[in-house]
Formats: sequence, structure tokens, C-alpha cells
Amino acid sequence: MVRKILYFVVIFVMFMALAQAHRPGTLKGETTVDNPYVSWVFAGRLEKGDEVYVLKMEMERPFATPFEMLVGRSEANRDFRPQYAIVGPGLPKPDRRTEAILPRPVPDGMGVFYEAHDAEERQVFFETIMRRNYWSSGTIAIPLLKGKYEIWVWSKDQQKGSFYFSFGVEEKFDDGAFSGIFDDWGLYAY
Amino acid sequence: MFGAMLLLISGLGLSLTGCEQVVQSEECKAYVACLKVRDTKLGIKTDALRFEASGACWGSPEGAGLCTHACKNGLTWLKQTYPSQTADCQ
Repeated sequence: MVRKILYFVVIFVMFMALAQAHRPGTLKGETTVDNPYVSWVFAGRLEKGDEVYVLKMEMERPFATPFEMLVGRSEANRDFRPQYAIVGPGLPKPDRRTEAILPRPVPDGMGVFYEAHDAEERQVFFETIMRRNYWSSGTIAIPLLKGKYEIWVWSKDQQKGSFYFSFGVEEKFDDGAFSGIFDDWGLYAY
Repeated sequence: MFGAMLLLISGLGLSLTGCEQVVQSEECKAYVACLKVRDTKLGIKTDALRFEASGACWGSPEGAGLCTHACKNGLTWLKQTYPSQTADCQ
């Protein structure tokens, strides 16, 4: 038994060493990102379909990083395409069509990057820690300026389902952050 | 016996991955260069280290693929969104 546990630990550590992993978090209501310079994945669930989740972050310097929305690749999620919008300084003002889709008015002086999540062909991403396949909205590198940003996650069609909003590249797990997966196991091990 | 095979496979996997060279993609070279053009016009310095040749993007083939997609899409968006700031981008 001890040897089996040892083998499991060796394999798990091997995957951790080889795989690129995001720091896990859970998106419920409004959530503040304490370190926006490292990679994160925020799992959430649209239970009623009309929720608007908000991630808040403050950039102390101009910073460019990739963003994407993931949903589990399963038959139930074939048409599930939640949206996200990055709202803050330096981003373009939304046109009227985008404004009508956004779940909230954009504050004065702020702009928006809006991900419609409507690409005909969705990129498939295999995540090597949890060994799951995801559909991606398409990862995109967005440069942010110094200042306060919000990321709004919602479904414009009031769809229901679990999503995984991720951003960043640099990993940081030295403070035991990986345990977040076990706190919300049901969301990650879909 | 099973355990020995498992450890052997694990070791082999680590060794093979260690040998794999991942270098900065052309897409990310272009994205970083375009950000620098825009930064000069705006008088700012954007931290894009992860996409640069020594950045965290190039630690594994999986991560490199994601960054390359991000740079390709990001460059298209930059040029469409800020045409005057990126006119000198390739």
C-alpha cells in the first residue's frame, strides 16, 4: 500500500513538473485577484444563467498576458459559450452593439475588450494535470495599462453550465495554492 | 515489477521532455515587436517578458502552443484596435 501511494506521488509530481498549470481559484460574485502577474484559472458555474461574475485586479505596471474562457469538452457543453469582458483603462470604447450585449454600463473613461466566444471552430485544449479536454474561446494576449481592471463573466443567452476563466503564464505554487482544486473538486473534476 | 516499470517510464518521460527544445515562436516575436512600437508611441513600457525569447512561454511544448495562439490573436487585435499606434508593426 505504501509503495502504491509512493508511486502515485511520483507520477503526480512528474505531471506537476512537466505540465504548465494555472493557480486555481473559484469565481463567486465578486472576487479580487491578489497577484495578477501569475497564471490563474477561476472555475465558476452559471446556475441560473443570469449571473454576472466579476474579477477585480489592479495592475501596478503595463502588463501583457493571455486570456481565455474554457468549458469542458462534453456533449452537454456543445452550445455552451459564456462571454467575458475586460473593462479598464486603455481599452477601446465599446460600440453600440457591444454596449447592448455587455451586462453592465462601462464606467466613464474606461474601455472594453469583449470576447464574444462565437468562433465557428473552437480550439481544443488538453489540460495535463486534471487530464481533461476543454473547448477554448481562443487564447488572446491583451496588453493592460497601469490601473484598476474588472473582468465580467456572464452568458448573454442566459446559458447554464460550468466554466473556467484563465489568464497568465508564470506559475506560482510555492504557497500551497494548488489546494484550491481540492476545495472545489466538483468544479474541476467535471 | 509493476512499480519498477512505472518508475522507469516516469524517468524516461522526464528525460525525453528535458531534451525537448522549445524556442520563441515567430508569432510571439512579432507580437513583442509590435508592443514595443506601440509602447514608444504611448511613452510606456509594457511587461511582455513571458512572450520574449527568455520568457515563461517556452518551458514546454504545451505552453508554447498556447502562447503562440495568444500572440497571433493578440497581434491581429492590436492592429485592428489601435491602427495609428501599430502602423509601423510588421
